[in-house]
Amino acid sequence: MSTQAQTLEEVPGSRGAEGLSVDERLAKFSRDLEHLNAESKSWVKTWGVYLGILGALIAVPKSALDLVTQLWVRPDTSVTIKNVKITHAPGLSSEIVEFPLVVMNLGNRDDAFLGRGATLTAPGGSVELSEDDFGLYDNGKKIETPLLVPKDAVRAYVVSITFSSKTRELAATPGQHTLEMRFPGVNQSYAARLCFPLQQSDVDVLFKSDQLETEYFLTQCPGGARGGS
Amino acid sequence: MKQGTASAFLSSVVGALCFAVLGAYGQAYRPPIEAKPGYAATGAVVQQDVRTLILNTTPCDDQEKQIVIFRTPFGTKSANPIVCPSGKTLQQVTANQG
Repeated sequence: MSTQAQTLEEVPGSRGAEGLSVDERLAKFSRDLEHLNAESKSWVKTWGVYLGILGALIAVPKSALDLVTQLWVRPDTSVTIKNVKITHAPGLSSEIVEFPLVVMNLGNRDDAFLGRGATLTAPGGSVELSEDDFGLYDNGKKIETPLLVPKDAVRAYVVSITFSSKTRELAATPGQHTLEMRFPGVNQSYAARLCFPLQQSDVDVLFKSDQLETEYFLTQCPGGARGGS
Repeated sequence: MKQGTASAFLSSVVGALCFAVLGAYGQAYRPPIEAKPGYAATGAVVQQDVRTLILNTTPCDDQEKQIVIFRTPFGTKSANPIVCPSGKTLQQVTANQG
């Protein structure tokens, strides 16, 4: 009881356990609070500066890039071939060579193919394919050149090649075959290469069989499928 | 007179031959269609055996031909013949991929 009375007397009293009065402790608490508040403001300021610098680091190159993009308008077109399918049927006058052609323009200006050409090279020599020998198809619809290649777009077409008697003779030679597709553009020419080896057994199946035959080949061009311009 | 007739005849024969040769070289094939189950097409038979049927669905087009390939199982029934602009009549069948 006496201990309780002492405590009750001491708490409202002017001195605490550390020898400070309540008023002093309040003043100290107030000072601490102000200090913390100032520190907090300083922290916000510091991180605000950091965030500002970070924002500038992102914004400045982006603005520069936008400026370059606005000043340097150009197409960035490429054509790619990955695989080929050859179909042979004894009733047809030619084998049918077909493959997907991926046309990509990642630039900021539209481009156009003004024409098309192709060369088949086999161990026996090389032959230029005429425009009648091959067609470009988009969902079964034949596409003619000039062909618009829109900016920021990827399109997949199907190319179908039919051999003339001379081309067929060359194609039916065992060995490495290279087909180069060329598309003259507005400022430069684009090319894609398709390389596949034909063994004697492939030739026998694809050019001499008395049944329907289909074979697939992946392009194996040394140095990649993209040709020079 | 005889010489004129002979040269005219020769010219027409050479012209016809050139046309035929050019026609043969100008014949291109569109990408073949592999018939999927339920697919049906009508055309002239290019080749048929127990396993496959190949139809030319554009038999009157000498420039560009569309080939459709059916593989077993498929069904066939005869269709009306087609008369081409050249006057040639071609037999046709309708095939269904099973």
